[in-house]
Amino acid sequence: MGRTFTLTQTDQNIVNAYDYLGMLVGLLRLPGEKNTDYRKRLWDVYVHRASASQTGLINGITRELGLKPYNAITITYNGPTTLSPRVVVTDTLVYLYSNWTLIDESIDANVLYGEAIDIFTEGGDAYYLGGLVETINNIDPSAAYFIASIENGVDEFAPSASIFGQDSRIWVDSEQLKQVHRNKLAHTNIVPGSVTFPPASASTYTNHRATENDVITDGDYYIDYTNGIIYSYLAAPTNAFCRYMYDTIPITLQASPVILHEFGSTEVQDKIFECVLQADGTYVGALPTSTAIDYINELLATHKMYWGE
Amino acid sequence: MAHRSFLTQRIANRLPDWTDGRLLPHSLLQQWVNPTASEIEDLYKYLITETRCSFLTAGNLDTMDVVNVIRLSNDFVFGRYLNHLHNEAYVVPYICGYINGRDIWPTVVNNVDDFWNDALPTRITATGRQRYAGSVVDETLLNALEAVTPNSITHPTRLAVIVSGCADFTDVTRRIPISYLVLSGTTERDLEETEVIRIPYNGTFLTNKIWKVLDKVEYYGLQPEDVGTVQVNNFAFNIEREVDKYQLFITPDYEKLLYHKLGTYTFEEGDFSTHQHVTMVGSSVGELSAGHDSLEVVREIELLYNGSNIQLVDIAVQPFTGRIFGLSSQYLYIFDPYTSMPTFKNMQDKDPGSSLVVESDKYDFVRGETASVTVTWRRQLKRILKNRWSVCKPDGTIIYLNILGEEVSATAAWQANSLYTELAFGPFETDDGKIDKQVINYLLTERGTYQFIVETVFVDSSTEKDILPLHVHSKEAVARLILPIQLQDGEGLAFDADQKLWILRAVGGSNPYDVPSEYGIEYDIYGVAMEASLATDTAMVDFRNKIVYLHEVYDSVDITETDDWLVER
Repeated sequence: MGRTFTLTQTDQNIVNAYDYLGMLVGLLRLPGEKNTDYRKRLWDVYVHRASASQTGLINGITRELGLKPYNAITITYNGPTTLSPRVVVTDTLVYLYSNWTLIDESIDANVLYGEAIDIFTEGGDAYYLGGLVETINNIDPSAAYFIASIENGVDEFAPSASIFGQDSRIWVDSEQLKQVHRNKLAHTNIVPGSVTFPPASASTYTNHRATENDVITDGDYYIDYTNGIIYSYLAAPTNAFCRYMYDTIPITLQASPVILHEFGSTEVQDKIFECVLQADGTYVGALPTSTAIDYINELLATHKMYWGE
Repeated sequence: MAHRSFLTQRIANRLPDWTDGRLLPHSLLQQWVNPTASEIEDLYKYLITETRCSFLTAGNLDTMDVVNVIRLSNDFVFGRYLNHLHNEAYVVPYICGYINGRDIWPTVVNNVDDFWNDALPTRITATGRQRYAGSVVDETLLNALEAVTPNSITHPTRLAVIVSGCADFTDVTRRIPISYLVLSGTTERDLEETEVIRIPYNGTFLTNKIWKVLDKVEYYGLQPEDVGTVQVNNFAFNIEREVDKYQLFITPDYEKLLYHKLGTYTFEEGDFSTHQHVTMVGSSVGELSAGHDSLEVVREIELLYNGSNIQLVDIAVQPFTGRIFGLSSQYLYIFDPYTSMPTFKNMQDKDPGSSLVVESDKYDFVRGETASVTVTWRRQLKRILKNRWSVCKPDGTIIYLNILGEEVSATAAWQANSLYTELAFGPFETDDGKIDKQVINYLLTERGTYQFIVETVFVDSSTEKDILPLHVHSKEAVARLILPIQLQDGEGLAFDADQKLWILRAVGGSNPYDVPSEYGIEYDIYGVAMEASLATDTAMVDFRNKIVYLHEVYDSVDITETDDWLVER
């Protein structure tokens, strides 16, 4: 017997049919990636499209890295049913509206529930997902309009800023209507007052009635907002479309392991630059904040570059 | 064990109608054609597999993707020896992988096929992943189906749809002539899709799509609505496995659509498991609407390990290889998909144009079945003096039989034709003067090929001999793997859409297991599916570049230099 060597293995990819499919869609195999995982990423190319939008960039970058956006927290609405709530996540803030109306003139402004929650500032109450959930649940514990809960298996110490821009209300710009009297829309929980029709079908949808039974003459129509159904006295004309907004509360907010912020957004600029008062009374973002300095150091550590020249 | 190709009969079908090669599945001609047909079949399957690999959903995931490489140091020395051609060759070094406290000695092979494509798994481990294995839609009457909200699917995979109690399978709208179910929901690709499943009979049907969320199940044409039920299951345990789901190899118009099924047979020592080939379709899909509602066993094969019977709880067919995986309480057995073939030894003694022909309406048997063999006098031109039955058993011993099928001496077995002078039919004449067949009933107690022989002596002293081989099927497992304790006492076996193996651990297993509370479902009531990982310990050595390729990942690998056998000691 000769000498014995104790050695460790390295993995080496072997090109097979999946790599050819990957080349077609521009997604290469990661080192050591098995067919099963690679196939999942290849499927994803046509489902979560990569583009230059924030969502598109997140889709593209996470997929390239073998990561995946995931469901982070769920926010349910528990307040009065007469109100029309909305949840909006922007770059650095979470807005909870207890009432957001489109046409009701009796309410002069949209009502914010508590204050906008800062999810960006390090050391803030809502910097981590766990803190964000607590912050939402502590806004007004007696009323408890909004109740947040963290999803199963999600790390409560993941930064809240990993939740990317989302809105509980989603616009459908153009949905074709069939030439029938009862049109079922693709979505339910339509936001009252959001449904509009192009001029071509105005004669069919002239008078919005309070109930289905009131639809008795030409031009009458009624919308069942909860179930997403439009009843009209006349059948919808050829090529009729409608535009509407629907509601997705209770909403599950998605988070991405890759955090993207829009540098041009004033919200982000407020956080990473200290505002300096100019002689003319306006403010300008000038000196980087400690958060920005962290980013700059991180960038300098990986790549030699000059900042500010 | 030989492979009987599905193409053999198709090639034989090109012969004239009346030939034995066309009529008898076990004729000499088909036996001769079979190797050629097998070669063509291999090419055909290879072509189809290659074509499927150009589609993301249909390709084989078990193709070589990542190999594990060890680069030996430059001073590593391979021993040498003289090979059978008296050339100097290198001795493979000792390779020992160390994983989870175990030493594994991978088999060193010479080519990629043995290394990956054809290599048999050598180890099975539990990955720790477990999923709820109950129903997505509980058993529901058809007329109540609309109101049902399906449960969550715990692991995206092909679902098993079970239809029972229906009597009519014709869709009145006739858009699809037979009844169907429509599933809608979200597939694994996160796309909202629908799938139509034709339901020609009461049974279990696998979906083609891999479902992640099921929204609803609708039915069309199934009757009666207040008796028939539908159930959808998370995993496909304990069901018939289709041989050819996509009908790539077997066309439904000409040949029987076959399923693999686990059977149980009882003989002498007790129950044992068999591999059944089961048919549903008579001749065409259209005939099914006439109301077939049961499966018919075409062929049954006794399953063996080391010559002994085994008892299995479920079988599953490995995608692409077609290998049959069988689960017992302690072991996982692997079988080739092929049926065993009869041996045709001594068949040269058969007279090709024999007047007396031995026939049977069945050629495939299991141990313990009784063969009913007949002899027909086909050409009544010569007068028979006497004839004699004998049977050559699988071990080669020859036994002589009288007309009652009882063992007698070689001389006592001759049956004389007392009426030969009148050119009468002798042994073939019944009391009322009609021609009859001689029928011998014989109990088949051994595995292998029995040859039934009829010898005839004519009045002019010429002799003839006809031989019919009948086969008692059995097949040996090509591998047996010991199940880790977490996977023992399983009740079902299935492959998921990622070609991973899952074992059903039902209620009250003897080994405790941790049940996660995710999905909020009571695992204790419905059972849990546990994922198993199959490892194939093979290695290849590149002597020139001093590289060792390994199929599996080990914590560390010891490689030891071998002695040089050319050095004088």
